[in-house]
Amino acid sequence: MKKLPRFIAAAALAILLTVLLDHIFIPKYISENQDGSITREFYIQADRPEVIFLGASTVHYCISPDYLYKCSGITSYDRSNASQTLWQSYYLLKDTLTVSKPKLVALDVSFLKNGEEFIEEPSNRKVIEHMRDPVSKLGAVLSSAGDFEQPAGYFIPVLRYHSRWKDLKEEDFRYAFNAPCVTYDGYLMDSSIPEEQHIYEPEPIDDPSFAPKAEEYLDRIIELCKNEGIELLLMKTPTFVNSWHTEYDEALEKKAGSNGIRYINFSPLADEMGIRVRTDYIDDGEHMNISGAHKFTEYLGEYINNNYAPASDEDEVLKKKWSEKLGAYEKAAAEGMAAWEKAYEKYADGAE
Amino acid sequence: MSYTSLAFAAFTLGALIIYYLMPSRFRYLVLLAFSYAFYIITCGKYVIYILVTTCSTYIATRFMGGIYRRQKEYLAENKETLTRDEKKQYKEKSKSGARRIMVLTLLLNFGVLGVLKYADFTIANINMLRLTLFNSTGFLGFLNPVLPLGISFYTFQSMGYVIDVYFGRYEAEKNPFKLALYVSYFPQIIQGPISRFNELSKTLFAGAAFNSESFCIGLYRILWGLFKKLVVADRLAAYVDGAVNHYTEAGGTYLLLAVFFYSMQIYGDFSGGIDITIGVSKLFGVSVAENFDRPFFSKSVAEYWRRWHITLGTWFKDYIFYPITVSKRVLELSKKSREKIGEGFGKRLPIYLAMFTVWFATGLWHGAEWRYVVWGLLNFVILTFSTEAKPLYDRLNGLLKWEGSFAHRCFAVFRTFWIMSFLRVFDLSSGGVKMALVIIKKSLTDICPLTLENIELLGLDRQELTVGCIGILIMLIYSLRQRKGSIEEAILKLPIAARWGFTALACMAVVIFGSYGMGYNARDFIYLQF
Repeated sequence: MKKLPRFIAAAALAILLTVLLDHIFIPKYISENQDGSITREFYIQADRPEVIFLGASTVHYCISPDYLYKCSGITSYDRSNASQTLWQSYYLLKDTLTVSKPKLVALDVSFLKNGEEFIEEPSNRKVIEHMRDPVSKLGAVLSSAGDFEQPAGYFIPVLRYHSRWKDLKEEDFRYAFNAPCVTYDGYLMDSSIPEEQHIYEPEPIDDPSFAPKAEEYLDRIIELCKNEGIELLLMKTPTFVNSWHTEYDEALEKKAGSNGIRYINFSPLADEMGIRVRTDYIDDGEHMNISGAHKFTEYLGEYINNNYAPASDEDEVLKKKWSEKLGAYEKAAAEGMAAWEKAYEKYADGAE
Repeated sequence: MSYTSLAFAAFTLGALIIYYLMPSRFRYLVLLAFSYAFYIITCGKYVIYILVTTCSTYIATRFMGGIYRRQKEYLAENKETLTRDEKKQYKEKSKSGARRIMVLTLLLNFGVLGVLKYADFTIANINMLRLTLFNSTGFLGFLNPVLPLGISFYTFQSMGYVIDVYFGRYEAEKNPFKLALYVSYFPQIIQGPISRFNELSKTLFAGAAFNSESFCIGLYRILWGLFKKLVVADRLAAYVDGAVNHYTEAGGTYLLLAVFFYSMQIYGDFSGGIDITIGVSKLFGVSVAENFDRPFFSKSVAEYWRRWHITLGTWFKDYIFYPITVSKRVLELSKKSREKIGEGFGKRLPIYLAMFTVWFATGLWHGAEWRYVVWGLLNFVILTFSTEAKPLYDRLNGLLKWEGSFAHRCFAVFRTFWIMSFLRVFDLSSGGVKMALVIIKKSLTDICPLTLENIELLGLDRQELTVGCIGILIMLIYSLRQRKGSIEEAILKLPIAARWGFTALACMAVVIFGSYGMGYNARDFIYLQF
């Protein structure tokens, strides 16, 4: 017992060192791969969001929570990530519920067709490693980590990233404990228009069924929302990729109907929103630039207000906070739109 | 479950907690349960082999123990009535019974080891002979047996115990659980050391009380083992593999560097693993035999083999070398050879015969391939040559007048290091003896300038090379400091701030610079395959 204080001090020192190394070695996702910051920034930026968006990368390119607030008064956060699987969406939702309870969860269903064969370590890392609720995080790790990964590395990141000692940059030290926010409530702003856009015709599919594991977790999300009294919107963001089929829409409409929730595929409504493939996307009709994002966000805000009406302006403090955030966003968006317009002039030919 | 994995750390932690929560007299049972759990987790159904070895060892030694007990009782009861010859006759009869049991046990266990380890090697050679001599292509099929974890180590350890009991060096263990623990003790099952029952049993079954000093020494020893294995050995392995895989294109100097690095790699790998074994054992209050004594400071090959893989060397010496040299036939041979060849070489001939057997067996023990046999026999040739050429050395040293000087010691250490390093090329060359000879020849004759670019192409970039070299330097400094006594104990005597600072730095070095996890090829301990 005499040595207990010394043992406690040694354990504390060990924990302190580990935390220090974790913070230095974990990738910062500041100057590149910024989508890796979305999970981390949720705990910093999100102010009691009424709507939470979940899904794959198309979501954080086409929905701007700040612009949504401006257009429709809805507070939200975009918790989508590149290649976010349905099981990751489920655990992110559980993690969200430990922080705040949204009124509506809007889930992009693009990844319903993708099973475990789509698991990739970088994507897993970006989604999971900054999650704060340990139980949700453990669930996400166990359901996501491939055989090639070491689950402990998600909780003690230096075990995974120690080999970065050769590649550490100044930003790894500078932002070790106070990394700045690089997204706008999860939205990644992009102003580019590519030189060419290729739109491929849909290919016929043999098996229109969803990946069993993805469907299992969709059911879990539905169940969780029901139990928590949260509205759930299943949506397909507007894309022109050839991997989505009407059979999927039919199956989802059936599932939504039987659970008393809504499903909407926004892709056929792109024209109505004024979205143009040539100038509103950054890559072959999949991820939107700022112009496309603003058009879709405005439409989505109207859709949510018409069908769910979650917007409330009872809380003056919250309103003030969002207005301040909006100021910063509008400044960045103005620059983004100016850059987009410049690109538009260059590639406007054939914009229709 | 590798000794360097987090799973092993968690497993050991679980074992430690339960071990120290148990009353002292039951602690060996905790170790036994965890040892079997470790074996089953790692090898599954192959646990049957270790069970067979344990059961046969227990039964055989108990029977032998019974024979010796009855002999003792009988002789005591009939002390007055029996003549000296009758006593001798009775003893011989008892010994003969015990011998039969020992031989049967050795045959069974070495038979299992032989079939599992050498059946395919034998089949390959039979096929080759049939093809060469009779041009027959009717090849025998391979058995492809799975080699259970640590079979060579636990078989040698158990059979050493059987032989010791046979010779009456100590009594047979009555408690089957204690014997089972001796055979399967998990920290040493993967790569030894090959412990003696009378030494290991002193602490293994004692259920020692928690001792914080011993515990800390154990932790430092584990840390040092991890450093050697993860920071040095596994890092250098990338270059060694790269150079050896491209030995036909790589310049001689690059191969020479690979030969040097491989010596460092195998030392870091094997002695690092042993450090972990000794360290983990210390956490349980168990003392395991040391297996290395700064071997790269040896001044002769014979000395090197007394300081490298000590327990294997001692095993071969005690159970093969000495029994051969004192056997009736060899003594007769010795007598005849002294008469015919002369007192000098004639006296040494039987010793060489025993040495030949030992080194042939040592080669085979390291692997079922001819390159290992050649490696073993080359050791024998060098050792024999060293003995025979000793008068010549002495005369040369007399002329140079440098014997015992610092320069002479350095020369001797340098010479021994490189002889052993070149011998190790046979271990390194998966392509066989021919490949080993090409590598040795090229590294000695094809001199070319080294460039960092080419070293990087072979597997180590500038930063990795720097860390590897610093790691080697630290190993050297550690070895030099070891001459003054235990470094772990010296660390414990440091002022607390210095000790904690050192510990933090050492931990960070292993965590940051260790070659583990994704981005690195996870490596098994090299001696795991033996």
